Amino acid sequence: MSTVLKQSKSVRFVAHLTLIILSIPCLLPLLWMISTSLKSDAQIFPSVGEIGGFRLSDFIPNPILWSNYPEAMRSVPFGTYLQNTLFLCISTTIGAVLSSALVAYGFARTKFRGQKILFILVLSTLMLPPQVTMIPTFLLYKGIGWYGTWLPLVVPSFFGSAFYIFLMCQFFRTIPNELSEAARIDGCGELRIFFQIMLPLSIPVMATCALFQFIGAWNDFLGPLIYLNSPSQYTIAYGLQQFMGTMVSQWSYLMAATTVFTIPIIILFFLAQKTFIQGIATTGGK
Amino acid sequence: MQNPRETTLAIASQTPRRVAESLPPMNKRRKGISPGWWFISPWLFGFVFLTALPFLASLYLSFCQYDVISPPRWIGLSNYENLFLHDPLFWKSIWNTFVYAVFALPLGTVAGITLALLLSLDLRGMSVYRTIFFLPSIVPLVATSLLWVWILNPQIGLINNLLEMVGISGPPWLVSPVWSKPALILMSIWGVGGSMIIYLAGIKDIPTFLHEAALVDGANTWQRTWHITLPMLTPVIFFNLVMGMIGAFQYFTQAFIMTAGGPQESTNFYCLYLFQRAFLYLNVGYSSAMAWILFVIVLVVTTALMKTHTKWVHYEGN
Amino acid sequence: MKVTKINIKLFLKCLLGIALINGFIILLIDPAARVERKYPDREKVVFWHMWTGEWKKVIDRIVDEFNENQNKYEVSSLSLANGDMKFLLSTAGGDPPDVMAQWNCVIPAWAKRKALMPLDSLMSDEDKKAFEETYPVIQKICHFEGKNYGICVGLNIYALFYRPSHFEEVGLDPNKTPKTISELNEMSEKLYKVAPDGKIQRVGIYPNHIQQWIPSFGPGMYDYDSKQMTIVTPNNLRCLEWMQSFPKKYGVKNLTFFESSFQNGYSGTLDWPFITGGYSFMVDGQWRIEQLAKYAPDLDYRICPLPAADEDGRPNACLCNGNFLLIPSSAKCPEGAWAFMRYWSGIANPDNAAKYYTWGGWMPISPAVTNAAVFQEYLTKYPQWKTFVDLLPSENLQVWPPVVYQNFLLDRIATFSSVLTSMSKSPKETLEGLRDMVTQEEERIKRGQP
Repeated sequence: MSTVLKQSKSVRFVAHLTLIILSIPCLLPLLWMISTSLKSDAQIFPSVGEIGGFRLSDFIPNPILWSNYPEAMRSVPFGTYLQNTLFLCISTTIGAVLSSALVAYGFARTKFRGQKILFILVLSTLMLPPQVTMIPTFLLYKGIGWYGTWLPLVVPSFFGSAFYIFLMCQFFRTIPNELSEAARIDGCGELRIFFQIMLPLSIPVMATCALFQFIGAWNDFLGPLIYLNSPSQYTIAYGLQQFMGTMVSQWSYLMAATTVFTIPIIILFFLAQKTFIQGIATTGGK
Repeated sequence: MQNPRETTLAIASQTPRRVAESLPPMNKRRKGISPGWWFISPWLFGFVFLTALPFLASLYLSFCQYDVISPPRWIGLSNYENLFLHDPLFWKSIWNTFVYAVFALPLGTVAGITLALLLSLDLRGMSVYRTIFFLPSIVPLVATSLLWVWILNPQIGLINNLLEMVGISGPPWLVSPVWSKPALILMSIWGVGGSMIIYLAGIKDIPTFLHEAALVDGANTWQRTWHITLPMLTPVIFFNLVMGMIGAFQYFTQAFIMTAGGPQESTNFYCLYLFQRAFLYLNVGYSSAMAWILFVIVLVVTTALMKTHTKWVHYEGN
Repeated sequence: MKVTKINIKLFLKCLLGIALINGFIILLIDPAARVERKYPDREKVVFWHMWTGEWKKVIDRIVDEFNENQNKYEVSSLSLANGDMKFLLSTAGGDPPDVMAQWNCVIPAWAKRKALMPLDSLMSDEDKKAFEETYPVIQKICHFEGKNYGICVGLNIYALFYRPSHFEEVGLDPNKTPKTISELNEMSEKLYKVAPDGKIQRVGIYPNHIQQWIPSFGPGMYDYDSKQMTIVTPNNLRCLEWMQSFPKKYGVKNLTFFESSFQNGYSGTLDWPFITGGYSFMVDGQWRIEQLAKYAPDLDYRICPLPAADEDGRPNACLCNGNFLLIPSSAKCPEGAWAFMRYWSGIANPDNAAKYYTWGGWMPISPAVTNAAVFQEYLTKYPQWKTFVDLLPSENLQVWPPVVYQNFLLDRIATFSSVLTSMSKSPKETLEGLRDMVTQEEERIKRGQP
C-alpha cells in the first residue's frame, strides 16, 4: 500500500481499539479449543455440587495435560491422513483455480453467442441444494467405476467451480479494458492475454480462491466418507470424526486433534493474506 | 525473467488509446469457434458429463416415489401436491428460512464490508488482525458449534452473563422457539470472515491511482471510501449478495449440529427438512421436489438481482 | 482474424499437462490398492458399523476373536462416523456391506422396501430355538410384519436413577423406592429445592420426554392387533397431564433455565446433571453405569424401575431402543454375515458371547447369556446392573411402533415433548397435534403411491 493512504493518529487509535474489541469473540473458539484440549475428562465434567454460573477459571486447565496431544495423535494414523489430505488439498486447489480462471476469463472478457444463458447456467448449478444431487452424483461415479477411488474428489475440480468462476468474473470485469485491447493490437492471442495480463493482475482473487479451495478440501468430510472405502485413504477431517464417540466422546482428545488440525490452516492464512495486501498497486502507473 | 506485471505495464503504456478504441467490437460474427468457447470448455465438459446428469436425474426423481432402496416409480405431480397442500412442516421450513435470510443477509453484508474496510487500513499488526477475524471460518464447525451452544446457554452462557452485568435478564436463546432464530443469525454474523476476505481482496484490487487522484482533489478518507472504494467494490458486493442469498436459502449445517430443527421446529430450515426427508425418512423423490421448488425460488430472486445489477454495479471493463 | 486468434495447441497442451501431473500424483500415492487381508483364502464378510473411539476398539476385538475362532470367513470391519448416508448410498448403488450395525429406526422402513434379509431363512433349527429363548423385547424390537430382521446386540433400557443422600436429607427412606406415580410425586415434591424467587436449585423428577413415560401409563402408542397408531387415548392423556403438571407448578422458565445450566457446551454424556446433584431422580439407560464408574467412581446412587401410573398403569415398563446387526438383502455373503452375528450375539455360544456384552456394557439378549459365568461376575462388579437385568423379562417393555415412518415419528415426538413442557398447548391439544401430524404423514405416503 502506498504511503499516500496513511491515516492520522486519532483514526489509527480508534481503528486499533475497534479491531481489538472485535477480535475477542473471534479468538474465543481457538482459545476454548486449546483450553479444552489440555483438560482432563474430569475437568470438562463439572464437579459434584456445582451449579450454574460462568467462571473465568473454568477456562484455564488445571492441571495442564500436554499428554492429550501425543495420545490423540497416536490413536489415529495421523501421518497417512495428513498425506492424503495434503494430496487432496493441493491437487484440487491447482485444478479449481486454474480451470475456474480460464472459464471466468471466457465469460468476462470474451464475447460469444449464448454467453448470458450459459452464465446463468453456471450460477444455477449452485442453486440446487447439494443434498439432493448427492444421490444421482454418487450413482454416476459408481456407474463409471470411480467409487472407492480419489477420482470423484479430485477430477471435478478440474472442470471449474461455479463459485470461483463467478467470483473471478466479477474481478476480471473490473480490470480496465485498455490493457487487453492494447495487447491485442500487439498481436497477442487471447491465451497470452490471459496468462500475461489477466493472471498477474488477478493475484488477490486467485489467492482468495486458492485459499477457499484449500480450506474447503481440508475440511471436507462428506466427500471422503461417501466415496472412499479404505481407512488408508481417509483424510484428517474424516479422522476427526472418529473421536466423536457414539456414547462417550473423548472431548479432550477431540479438541487436541482439532487444534493440531486447525493450526496449519491458520499459518497458511497468515502467510497467504500478504498476497492480498500486495494488491495491484503496480498497475496504477498509466 | 521479466516480471509479468512489468510486461503489462509496458504494453499498457506503449499503446496509444485511440487505436484500442478503433478496434472492431468483439461480438461480430467470424469464422470458426469463438475463443470464448475454448475458455469455457473445461466447465462445459464438466457440466455436460458430471453436473447435468445428476441435475436432470433429480428433476425426474421429483416426479417419482423414490426411497433410495427400491427403484423410482413415477407418480406425477403427487410430491408437489403433497408439499403445497398437505405439509405444514414444508411451510414452516420456508418461513424459518425466509426469516433467517431476511435478517442474516443484510446484516452479514454490512458487517462484512465494514470489517473489510477496517482491515484494509494501513495499520501495524494488520496481518494478525486479519487472521483473527478469519478464525471463525477456519476452526472446524464441530468446535465452533459446541462453543456457541455454551455462549448462548441461558444460564451459564457468556452472552447472558454479560447481559446480567448490565442488569438485563437474557433470553433463553436456543432453547426457546422465539429466540432460536435470532441466536443463529447472531452466530452467522460472527462467521462473516469468509465474505470479509472477498471484500478485502476487492478493496485491494482497486487501482491506487484512483485514490491518489482523489487525494490530489482534497478528498478525505470518508469521501474516498464513499465515492471510490464502494462504487469500485460493487461487483464484489453483488457477488457476495448472490452467494449470500444462495447460502442463506441453503442454510443447514449449524442448525443440523446445534438444534436439529428444534425447539418446536423453530430452526427447521428448508434444507434441514429436505435432508431429513431424503436421508432419514427416505423420501428422496419428495426432497427432490423440494429442491426444485427452492431452485425456482433462488433463480427468480437471482434473476431479479441481475436485473437491478446494471443500475448499481460498476464494471471498469465495460 | 489475427486479433482474436487463440493458440489452441498451447491451450490443449496446458490442459493435458495439468491432467498428466494430476494423474501422476494419483498413481503415486493412491493407496486404494493397499488392501491388507490376514486370511486371504477365506470368504470375505464386510462389516460396517458406527462405533468410534473407545467403542471401536471393543468392536475390533470382537471381530478379531471371530476371525480367530473359525476358518471359513474373514470379517473386515469399517467404522463409519456419521455413516447413515453412506449406508443408504451404497445400498442405492447395489454395493452394501454384508452385515451392518444400525441404531436409527430403520428396520420397518428398510424391511418394507425389501432392503433387508429376513433372518429366518439363514437360521438353522438350532438357531431358531435359541432365538425363541431370547428375551421378549429382543424378539419384538427387530420384528416387522411377521419376520425378524436383526439381532439387537446393543439394547438400551431405561430406569430411574436416584440419589440416596438426597433422600436422607429430606427424611425419605432410600430403601423405599416409588412404585406408583403418586408415590413418585410425593417424594419428588420433597426433593425439589426452590428459591423464594422461584428459581430451581434441585429437581426431584422432571418428566420431559413423552416417549419415556407413556409405557408406564398404559399400552402405549401402537395397537399391534389393528396395526394402528393409538395416540389420543385416556392413558396417554393421563401421562401428558402428569408431565405438564411440573411446568405448571414450577414455571416453564424456571425449569428451562435450570435444565440449561447443565449444558456446558459438551453434548451427550459428560454434562449429565445427575452427578452434579441437580437432580434427585433421573430416567436413563444402563450405559450410564459404566460411565459413572469411570467419571464419578465415588458417587452413591441407586436404580429402580420406573413407577407405574396409579390408574391402569404398567410396572417395569419403558420404551427400549438399541443397536442392531442387520443383513442387507443384496449382501454378497449373507451366510458369513449370519455366522458372525450368531457368534457375537450368543445365539451360537452364549457362554462365550457373554464377555462381549460386558466389554460394551450391553444388555444380554437371552437368559442363557445372563446366566453365563462371565456375566454373573460382571453383575457382582456392577451391582446396579441388576435392576436392568431384572427388567429384561418384563412384558411391559415397549419398542418404537413398527411403522414405516418411524424416524418421522421420533422427530415429531421430540417436537411435541417440547410443545408440552413449554405449555404452548394443553396435553389434549398436544396429543391431537401429534395425531394429526401422523395421520397427515400416513396419508402423504398413501397419496405418494404410484
